[in-house]
Amino acid sequence: MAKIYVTNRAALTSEIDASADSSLMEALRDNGFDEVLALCGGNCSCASCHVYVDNEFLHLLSAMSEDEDDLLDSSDHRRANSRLSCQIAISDHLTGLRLTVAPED
Amino acid sequence: MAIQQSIGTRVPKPNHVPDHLVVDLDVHFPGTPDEDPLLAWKRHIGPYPVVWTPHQGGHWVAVDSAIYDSIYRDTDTWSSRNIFVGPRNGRPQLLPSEYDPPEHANFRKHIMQLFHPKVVREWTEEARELTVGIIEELQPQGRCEFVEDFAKQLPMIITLRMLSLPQSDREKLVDLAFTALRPATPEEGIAAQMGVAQYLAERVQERIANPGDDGLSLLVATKLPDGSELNIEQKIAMSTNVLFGGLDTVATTMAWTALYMAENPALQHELRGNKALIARTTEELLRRFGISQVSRVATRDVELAGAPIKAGEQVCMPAAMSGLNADIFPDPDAIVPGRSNANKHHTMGGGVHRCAGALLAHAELRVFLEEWLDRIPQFSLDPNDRPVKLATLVPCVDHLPLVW
Repeated sequence: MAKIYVTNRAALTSEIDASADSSLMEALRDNGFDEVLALCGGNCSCASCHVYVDNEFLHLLSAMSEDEDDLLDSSDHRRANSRLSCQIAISDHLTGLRLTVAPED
Repeated sequence: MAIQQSIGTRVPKPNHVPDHLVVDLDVHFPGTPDEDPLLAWKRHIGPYPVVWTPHQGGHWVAVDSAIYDSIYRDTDTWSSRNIFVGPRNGRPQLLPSEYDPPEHANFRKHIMQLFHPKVVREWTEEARELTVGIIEELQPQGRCEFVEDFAKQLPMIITLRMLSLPQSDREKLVDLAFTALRPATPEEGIAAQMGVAQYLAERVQERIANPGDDGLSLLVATKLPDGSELNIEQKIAMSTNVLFGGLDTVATTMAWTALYMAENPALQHELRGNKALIARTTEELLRRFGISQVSRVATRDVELAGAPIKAGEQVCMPAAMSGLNADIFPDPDAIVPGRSNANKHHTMGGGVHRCAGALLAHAELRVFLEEWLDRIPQFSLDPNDRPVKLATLVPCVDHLPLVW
């Protein structure tokens, strides 16, 4: 279980408990963030679960695959701290992580 | 025209199947002819998560969708080598839908080039232009037969454009796909599948001789991981798999959606003009209309939620059982715009085989809802010409007269 702080597209921040056997995308959906569309179901084949991860937490995440990098390139809103939330596995050491849901493409 | 009764073979119960797990269920016809073929699935929820039926050649059915994800994920135990219930009877193997890891991944990767978000965005704009054109022609008439006039147009036209196939072949291909999914006899279904493959064989040869920049040329150019070419049968099988994906399922989902909205004017009102809500509701449509049912084959003897399954036996996972599971989706019959866990359905399958065209399917559903509700006033069913629903492998609305 990790406590994560999520800022939605309306700029409201809330705290969620993310369970350790899920991806960050699943945790967002399970906590009612339906603006994270995740249309491919977590298969790393769209970019509709795009989030910005606060810089200080980026180094805690698993490395980005070539596929994720390529998909993020398809977004008009890519930044240096962009990630696809379906590619981030939740673990206890992510407690305190802050992220913002990226605008819709 | 498909028939409304069981066409498969009933077989005797094998000795290892315990009596208490035997049910009388034909997964292509889960209800009575006058029953809604999707909602009928709710009657099959029972005390045992996995049951056995003698219909369609004899197979298991996972009626508790809570176990679907574990089946989809465990590709070592659960093979995709025959994803439809019953014996193959010479049916060509779908590529990559009926391939297992690790071979599957390379084919999947090639297909995903057709559905990259950038590519889908371009098709979405084209779909929008097309949709507006069709609806503006229908609007002044005050009525339409939704299936022929809209559902069988938009998704199919886009699929044919993606593969650069002639639009003049649309009706022939749509009819073949319909028969393949809803045959009067198993032989008729296989013949229709072969018909699509034969049609594509010629087009594939054309692309080998004169490659273009279209989707079919891209599929034909697929290479194996060692850099070698696919053989001709594989090229045809891969093209057939993609074409089948785009010839029926989105149209069928649109027709179920239009039927539901015609009976629920409040939903039309709620979604009309609210693009943000529409975007968060396409997943809910897939959840409510679980039109797919795929199977897995056990690669070894295994116990699954109390069922003693032998290597080689099939387990069917009807998506309607997942979408209508009230433990996961309270008030499952209702479309709840923006239902936040709507994505827990299995209508697009699961695991590495989850629908490759999902992004395009969502885009087409979204464009349809936005443009239809912007242009067509409150619509309802024609009181003098009732809709026709068909139970089959892919349950559908075959006739849907709407008035406004």
